[in-house]
Amino acid sequence: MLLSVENLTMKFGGVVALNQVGFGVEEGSITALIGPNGAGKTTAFNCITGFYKASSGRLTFSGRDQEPVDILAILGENFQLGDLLNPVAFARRLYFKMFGGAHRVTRAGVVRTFQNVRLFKEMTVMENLLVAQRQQVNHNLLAGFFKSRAYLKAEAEAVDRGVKWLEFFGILDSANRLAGELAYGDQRLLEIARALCTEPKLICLDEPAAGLNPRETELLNSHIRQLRDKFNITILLIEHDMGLVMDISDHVVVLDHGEVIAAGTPLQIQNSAVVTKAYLGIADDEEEV
Amino acid sequence: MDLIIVGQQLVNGLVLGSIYGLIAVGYTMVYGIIGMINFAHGEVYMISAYLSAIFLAIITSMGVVSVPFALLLVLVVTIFVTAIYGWSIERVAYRPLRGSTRLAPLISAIGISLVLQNYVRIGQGAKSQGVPPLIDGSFRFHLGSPDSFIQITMIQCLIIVASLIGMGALHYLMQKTALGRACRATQQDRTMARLLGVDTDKVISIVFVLGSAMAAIAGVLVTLNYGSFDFHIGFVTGIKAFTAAVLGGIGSLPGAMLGGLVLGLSESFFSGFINTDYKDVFAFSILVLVLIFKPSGLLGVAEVEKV
Amino acid sequence: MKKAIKDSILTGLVAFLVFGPISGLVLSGYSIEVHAERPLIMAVVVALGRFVFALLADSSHGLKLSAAIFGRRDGGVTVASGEPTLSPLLYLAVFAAFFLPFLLSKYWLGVAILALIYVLLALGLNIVVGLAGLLDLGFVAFYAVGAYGYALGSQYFDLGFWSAIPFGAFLAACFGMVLGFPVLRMHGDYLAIVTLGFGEIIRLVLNNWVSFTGGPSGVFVQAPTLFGLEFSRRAKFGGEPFHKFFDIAYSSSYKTMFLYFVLLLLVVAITFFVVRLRSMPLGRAWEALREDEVACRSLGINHVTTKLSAFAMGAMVGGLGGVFFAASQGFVNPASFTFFESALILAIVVLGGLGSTVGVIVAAIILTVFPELLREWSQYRILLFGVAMVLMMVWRPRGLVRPKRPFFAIRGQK
Repeated sequence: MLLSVENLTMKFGGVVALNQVGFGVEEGSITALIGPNGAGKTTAFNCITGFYKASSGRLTFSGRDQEPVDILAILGENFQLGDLLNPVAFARRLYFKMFGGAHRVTRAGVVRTFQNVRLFKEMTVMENLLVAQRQQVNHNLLAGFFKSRAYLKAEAEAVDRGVKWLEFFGILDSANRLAGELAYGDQRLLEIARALCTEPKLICLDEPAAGLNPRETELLNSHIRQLRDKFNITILLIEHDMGLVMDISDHVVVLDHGEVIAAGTPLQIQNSAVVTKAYLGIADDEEEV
Repeated sequence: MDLIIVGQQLVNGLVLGSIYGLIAVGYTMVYGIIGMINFAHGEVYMISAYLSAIFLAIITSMGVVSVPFALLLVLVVTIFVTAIYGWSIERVAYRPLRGSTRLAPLISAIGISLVLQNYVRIGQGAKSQGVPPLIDGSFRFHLGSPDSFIQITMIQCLIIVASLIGMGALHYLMQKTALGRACRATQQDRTMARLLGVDTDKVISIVFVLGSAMAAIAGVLVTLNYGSFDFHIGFVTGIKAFTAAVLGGIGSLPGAMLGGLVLGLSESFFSGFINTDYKDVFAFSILVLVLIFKPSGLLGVAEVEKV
Repeated sequence: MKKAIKDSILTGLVAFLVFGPISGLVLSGYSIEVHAERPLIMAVVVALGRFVFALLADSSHGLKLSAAIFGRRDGGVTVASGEPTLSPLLYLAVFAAFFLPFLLSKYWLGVAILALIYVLLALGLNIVVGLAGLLDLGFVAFYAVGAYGYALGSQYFDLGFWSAIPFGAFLAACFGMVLGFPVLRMHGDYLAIVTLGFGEIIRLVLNNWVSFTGGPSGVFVQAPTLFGLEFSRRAKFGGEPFHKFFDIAYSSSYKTMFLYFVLLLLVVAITFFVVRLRSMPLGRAWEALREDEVACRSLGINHVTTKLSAFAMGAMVGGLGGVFFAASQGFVNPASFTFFESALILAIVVLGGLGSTVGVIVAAIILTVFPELLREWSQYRILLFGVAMVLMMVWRPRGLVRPKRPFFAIRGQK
């Protein structure tokens, strides 16, 4: 398992948005997270990528060197009484409390895109891609100030990496345009390209096909496949376009009312009575599975 | 002996707190509805102090002898003109900026407060101004010997009573009237309120008018209480009132009043028992600490970040 | 047309009500002096202005005209068309600046030093507000830390001018870090008010801690030296006076000239640094953070430390400004570090255009030199700054100069 989600629970005040959610994402797979509106898909995404701190549960990601990463720990957990006796644990928690957060999750190799595209609209396409390459560029201020050879090399490589992804998505011509000027479909692609520039192991796409026309969706479909096949990147996506989901996913997880009601291959899901019920809302909505 | 000081500081704190509360209302309402800190609000309060002195001078020169009548007249006219100030500021400096960058309204607000401060300095002169003492008399509560007593002046009573009435009226307005409903709806979701036919621009204007009116009450009362003021008073009082709003939970009306009282009392006890020189430092430290550790304040609701 | 007239009369009435009491009825003791003509004139001007605008908005010609005058409201970001080049005019200006001391009187040289100090402060604040998008209303605190760091350092530890430069910068940066760390987690507007609070706290502490800082009466600062040479007529600290060493006649302006040159070199270096920073990963991260914080976090950028670096770097530059302020005045007291000073620096940054380095430098120079030229207007100075800030936000929130994004050459493309 590249990512395993166990007993994930998220509460907002008294509202339980996710209740004991559990599923896994296999390395090299395309996993889809589906469910009716308000089922908690985006909340689950936010927990996995560290934007929300889950109320309880366990999120384990197998990081870049195969070492397991406890996502909740690197977000900065609350101190516990036992920490008073254990200075190492205390220091660890303090460190992550001070410097932890969603960015750590990204550095570990999980990156995401957003439902409503979030680009740096007044920066150029290439700048958007460079910002994402925080880990690959040279941060030394003096090196940058004097434009040392190592610095220039790292910058040139970063541009090349950006070019690679722009080429992949076919938007290289726009490299020096402002991100906000691109057509909507291209903005979506740029956001994915930008996420890929962080060199992730797992990319989480939040409704990547929303607002795209059928031809663009078709293209996206093949891009996503290639990401898995050519670049060995695992994909977790939320999508409403069932055609796309059933077409490309290896594994589908269905959420409803904050709980996993079914999981399996696209074929199994299509034939599942529970799922049909959840979507069509036929009586016995409250039935537990 | 100590009990006397405690009692006296309690009275002073309540008075101070009522003033902070009245001004804090303006911050909290505006923040609640358009999510910006109306930096110029402290200066609106300062202007209302000037206005009250000006109208008082006019009314007394017209030969109005009855003090209560004169005061009422001054209060009404000051509230009216200050409200126009609030309305104009929103119209000129904030409304054109809807949908602009996040920083723009804040910077514009700072610009406006510079303008107001210096407009008053140029118009009225830099020296401090004053009003003659109009109301005297006080209640004294003796404790034991005749020398030890807690004193509440008539003006202090007036301040507490007037701010209670003002807050009560505002609370009624917000909770029980159609106007208040429109305000609360706009506060919750501006787009939705507009879709449902609420004229949100008008609601925002009204919020500025109401906030300024409350600041005007504070301005009149402070002028009567201290008798003197200058064009600087808006700045420090403004920050402290904002502190009160944050302390109570920004966006919440009862919170503003509560925050005002808590801040007024703690400031008054701090200066009474610890150190007068550092009382402003103390108030600002409260602001900083609350924002760091409990930004939702005493009565506010914690915000969930939207991703 | 009818509506335009009605609107402008209404606007004029409101303006009369607003302006009337404060400028028309002047308190003098407990009575009133009436100057009815002042608000009347103002109200008429406002009404006429409103009328002109209404007319412009009414006709298509008018709309075109106003569009031509006011341009696009968003200011329009553009992408540079090639490698960035600095205009030769800029080099010329820097070159000319090195000859200024030989042309200016001592008084005007003092003004020039002040202008350069404001350039430093504005550059520092521009990093925080313009690039990282963090509204810091207490920037004067770092200015004060730099100035007092030098003054108190020279009083208690015999700190000299040259060691005060790194010390003041370091101290201010540390203050920036310590203040920034808890504060930078909170979002947007709260940051503004908290920094304002910090600025006031520092000033009040400087004012009230008499035993350490000398309170309102301030501290004297040890005069700067050049390789141990002193600029006073007679050596006070056991060194040799500058004019004796070079065997030239004594002039009190040597010290000013010396400060000017050091300051100018520093300003040039920092300007160069800031320009470079914008195309470096850190500068890019700052601007990205200004655009969208959530997206930045999703890309592995630690928003807190990135903001902190902007905050600390801005503070450092502000602290340097403080050191030079102390050196040029020879004396510091808390009255120089009020909120007004923060607002002034902010006004400079806003008028120069948030994020535009050259614009900010030009604005700093103009806003310090012009008030000296227009002495009789001095009481209107701050009022006009305020008006200009509002107008800029309404009309051109991005500044007068269009921001330009860097161009990236792509291999195989031209």
